Amino acid sequence: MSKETEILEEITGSEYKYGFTTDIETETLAAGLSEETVKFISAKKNEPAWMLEWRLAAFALWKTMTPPQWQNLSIPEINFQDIIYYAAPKQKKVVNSLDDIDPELRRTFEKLGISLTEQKLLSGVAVDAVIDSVSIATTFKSKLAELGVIFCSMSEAIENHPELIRKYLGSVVPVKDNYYSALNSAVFSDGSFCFIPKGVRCPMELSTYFRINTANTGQFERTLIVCEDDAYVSYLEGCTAPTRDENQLHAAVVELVAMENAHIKYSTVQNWYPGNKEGKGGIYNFVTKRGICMGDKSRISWTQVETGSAITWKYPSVILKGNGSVGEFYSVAVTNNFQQADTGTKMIHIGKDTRSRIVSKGISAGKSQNSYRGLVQVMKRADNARNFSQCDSLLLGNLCGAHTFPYLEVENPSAQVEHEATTSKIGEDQIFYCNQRGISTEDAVALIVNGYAKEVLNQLPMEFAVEAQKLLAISLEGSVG
Amino acid sequence: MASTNSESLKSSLLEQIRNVVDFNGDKESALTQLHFPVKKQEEWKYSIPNFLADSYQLSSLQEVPVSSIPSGLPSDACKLVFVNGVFSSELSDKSLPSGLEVSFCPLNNSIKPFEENLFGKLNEASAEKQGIHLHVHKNASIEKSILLVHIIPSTGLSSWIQPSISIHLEANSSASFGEIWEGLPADHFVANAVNEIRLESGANLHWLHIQDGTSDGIIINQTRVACAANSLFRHIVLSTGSGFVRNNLDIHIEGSGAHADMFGLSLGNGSFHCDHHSFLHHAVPNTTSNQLYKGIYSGKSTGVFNGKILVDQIAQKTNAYQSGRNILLSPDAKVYAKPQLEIFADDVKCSHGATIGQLDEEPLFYLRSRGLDLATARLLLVRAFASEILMQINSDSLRAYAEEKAIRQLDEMTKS
Repeated sequence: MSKETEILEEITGSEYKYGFTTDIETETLAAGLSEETVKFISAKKNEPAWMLEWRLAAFALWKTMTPPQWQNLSIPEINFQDIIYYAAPKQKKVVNSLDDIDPELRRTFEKLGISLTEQKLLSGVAVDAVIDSVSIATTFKSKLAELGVIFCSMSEAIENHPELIRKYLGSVVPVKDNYYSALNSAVFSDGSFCFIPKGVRCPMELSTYFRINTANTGQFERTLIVCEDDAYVSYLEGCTAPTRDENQLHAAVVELVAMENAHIKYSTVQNWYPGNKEGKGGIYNFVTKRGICMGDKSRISWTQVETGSAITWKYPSVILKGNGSVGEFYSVAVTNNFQQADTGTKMIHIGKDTRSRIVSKGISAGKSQNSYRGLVQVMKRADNARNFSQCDSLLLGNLCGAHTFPYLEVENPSAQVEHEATTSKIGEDQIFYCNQRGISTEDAVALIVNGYAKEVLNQLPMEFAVEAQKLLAISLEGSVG
Repeated sequence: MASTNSESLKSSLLEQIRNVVDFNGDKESALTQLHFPVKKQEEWKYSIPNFLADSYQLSSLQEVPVSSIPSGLPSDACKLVFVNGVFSSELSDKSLPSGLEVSFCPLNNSIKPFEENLFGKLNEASAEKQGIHLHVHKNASIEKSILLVHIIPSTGLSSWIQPSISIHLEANSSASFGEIWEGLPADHFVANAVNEIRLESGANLHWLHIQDGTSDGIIINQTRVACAANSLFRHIVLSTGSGFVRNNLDIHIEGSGAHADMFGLSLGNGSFHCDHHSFLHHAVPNTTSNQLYKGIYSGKSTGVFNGKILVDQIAQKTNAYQSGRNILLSPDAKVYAKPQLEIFADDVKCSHGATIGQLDEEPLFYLRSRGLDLATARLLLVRAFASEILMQINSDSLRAYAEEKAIRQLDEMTKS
């Protein structure tokens, strides 16, 4: 028992590995938010007038809104005037080849294990790297273009593919959706855009790596993925930030559109700086992610491994509009020290014969609070809808909390909706069983935690699964390997 | 927020209560801050009694014939009758079982509700005058079931009634109560009831609550329970009919070794709206609880289950189980479920589950392949589904009474 306590204490002693800062020259806008800020960002990116109008309308709307209060989080008041809304690494005007990238920047990404040099990439993952507010490089662009796949930064997309952006931007997450989505719509600085044309199976994993570098900046990225009929894409997202004493805001919006028979697989390994052991600093991660299964038999799956951020407020959702469409949500959320997480999903069944599956695994340690919040809604016309949800919570230590808030709303009698949730700690009997077979307590805890999260980790693409497992190991130091 | 209509209703009710009792400034100020619920409030999200009339007659005790007592009540039970929420000694059984005492006494409001609302506060305001207190003496074991029978005579007016009942079980006593709401008038009414139940150590209380609102009435029942060490509380609620029912059941487990059982069966037909809000608070180590709420909904009925289990940080070794199962029989029936866990202790076993679906095809096919017609087969299956709750009733006569009621309702529901 005491050994177990020791191990659990070790877990709380984990260190954040990516807390370094890169000393690069950046161009930053003074802190503060006004119409001028919005205009500045838009001008900086040479945006067309319609985009500026869209942003200004969003800003006007945001000013009338108030932050949401319903979540089970204690969020200190955020002064939106103290945030820097635009910061970009200074570099040559046009980057033609990857060799032109600032070597300091490239070293940063190498340190993070993200290689921007294409030839080195054996795994074949195309990467869009975003530092602070702007995208600095996108790899494998030309190869993807051969197939008609568009994978570029949002700024480029606004410039080169305005018709697609106008059609889809804000179509899944409307500007007025919530406080943070409105803010994002007004000030988003960059992000990734990805378009897979009809019938194309994207040959490689697409990936965006986000890094906040400059102090006091907020990161507001916007991601839009559109998959036409019969197309497929697997998209990965990773993020880190330096160790700082102040809290930084990250308010992203991600929109996915899947047409008939399309399949989008979106995986996130979220590892923003979680704050130190005393709960000082860390990123506020307030993200709106939503996908729509527009066409029949389309499919969207969200997989997330959430280990970072001081506060997480995130509900990747799927609107199941097409008949026979499928939505999936797999999540492992780990909170430690003073982290707080309120995360989950929404599955909105509109079409007939739609199916959804939710697997959520929460692990709370230290003095953290971890909540699952989910909605399964079956509309009146959604005949034969099917949902299964499983939300388990594992408590490591007696100062943390685990909470479950599922909402089930069924308005069609042919629906079958099941929800189950459990909360427990690692059983002494389980540890004893392992000990008895010669496995040390430390290894046993590792084994059990890994096994507990396996159902979700298995959903990740191979390259990410390895990273995610490593992350679990860092977050729960000394016990997971 | 609150519409002018509901504000004027509130002041008219307050005026009427003031005519009966004078209440102090504290109560007054608490009342001014509260309003009738609106949909925006999380706790009333799915259940807005939006058909509240513009005005009500705050009704009190009145003379009614003995025949207004519903027939068919178990004869071996002791009956305490309430007319318009006020205790009627005339209609009630004269001889009380030994160990039980009945007195007029206001609620002492020592058990804090999970959700403070206007209904509860309005009830408290008049409780001083109308409250009744039931006291079970130490070590008393009352064999006879005690029935609290509520009668609302039809007056042609929309009446608003406010029964307030407090129950105190001293150490190691045991009793079985039945709270019966049935044979209610066809007129529109609001029954705004509050029960406050305190179990001392080792006490054992069995509470059966039957709500048969075959009318367009609104029943709002708020029951608050505090359980001391090693006490045992079992609550079973059977809700049928076609009106609006909202039950707030708060149980605070405050002593080690205590156990609470909560069972519910809702059989909805017509425009029945039934909302079970349970709040279970494990405040000390080594306690257990078990909840099972089942519902079958037909016609245009709506079922809501909102269960919350809160486990405090010190409440180690808690074992809490919660389950909600629902069957939808018709295209217009709806179910909203929100089972929640809030856990602050690590050495616990807590789980919950919720299902919403329809009758299984396979057993239906099995029964039909053996020559049963569809209606009979369906009835058999829903009866089986319901019996899991009904068999939890410990008194034979009360169980038979509840079963008869449930079967009649199920018959009705499967016919359509």
